[in-house]
Amino acid sequence: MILHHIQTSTSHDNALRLCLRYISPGDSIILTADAVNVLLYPDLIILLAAIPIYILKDDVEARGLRSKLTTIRNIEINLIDEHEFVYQTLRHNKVITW
Amino acid sequence: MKKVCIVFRHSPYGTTTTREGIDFALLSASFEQQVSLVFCDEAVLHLLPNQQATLAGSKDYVSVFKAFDLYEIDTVLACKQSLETLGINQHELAIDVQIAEAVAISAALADADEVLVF
Repeated sequence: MILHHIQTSTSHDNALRLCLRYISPGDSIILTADAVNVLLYPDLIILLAAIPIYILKDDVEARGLRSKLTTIRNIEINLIDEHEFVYQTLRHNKVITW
Repeated sequence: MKKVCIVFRHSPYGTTTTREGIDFALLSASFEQQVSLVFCDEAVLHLLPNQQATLAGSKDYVSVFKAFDLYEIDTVLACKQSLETLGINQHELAIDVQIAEAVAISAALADADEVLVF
C-alpha cells in the first residue's frame, strides 16, 4: 500500500502519468502544489477514477480552485489538510515522491 | 540493511538530477544497502553507448554504470514501454539490464523498503 505523491503539473512533467503506469491496486495518490491542477483536465480525472485521491486543501484554495472541485463527477476526491497528510503517510507502507 | 529502489525518469544532461541519483545509489551500495535501479521514460537514454557528456557541458557520470556489479548493484531494470516508445532495442544498450514490464517495476517498487525518484 503505497502513497504516491505528485507535486508537478502534467503540463510540464510526466510524474503523474508515470505513477499511473506503475501504481498497484490498494495504492493511493496525493496531489499537492501544481499537481492540484489535475482537477482541470477531464481526461486525467477519468484515469484517476478507480484510485483513492487526496488533495491538499491549502494548495487548492491558494489557486482559487475550490469551486472547481464541486463540478467534478465520477471521482471521489478527499480534500485534506497537513495533519491528515501526515496521517496518510503513516497509514501507508511508504511514500513515493515522483 | 534496507532495500532501496532508485528510479530515474529524466533524460541525460538536461538536468543534474540523474547524476545526483547515481551518486546516491553508489553511496548507498557502498554502505551495504541492497540497491536496485529502475530506468524509465527518457532516463533509458542513459543506457545508450557512445555518449560524450562533456559536449553537453556535463561530467561523464554514465561510464560508471559499468561498475554497478562492482558495487553489488545486481538489479538494474529498464522500462520496456519506455524503450519501445523511444525505438531502442536491448542489444543497442551499453550495459546489460533487465527489460521489465510495468508490472515487474510495480513489484520492485512494492518490494523495496524505500523508493527514491530522481
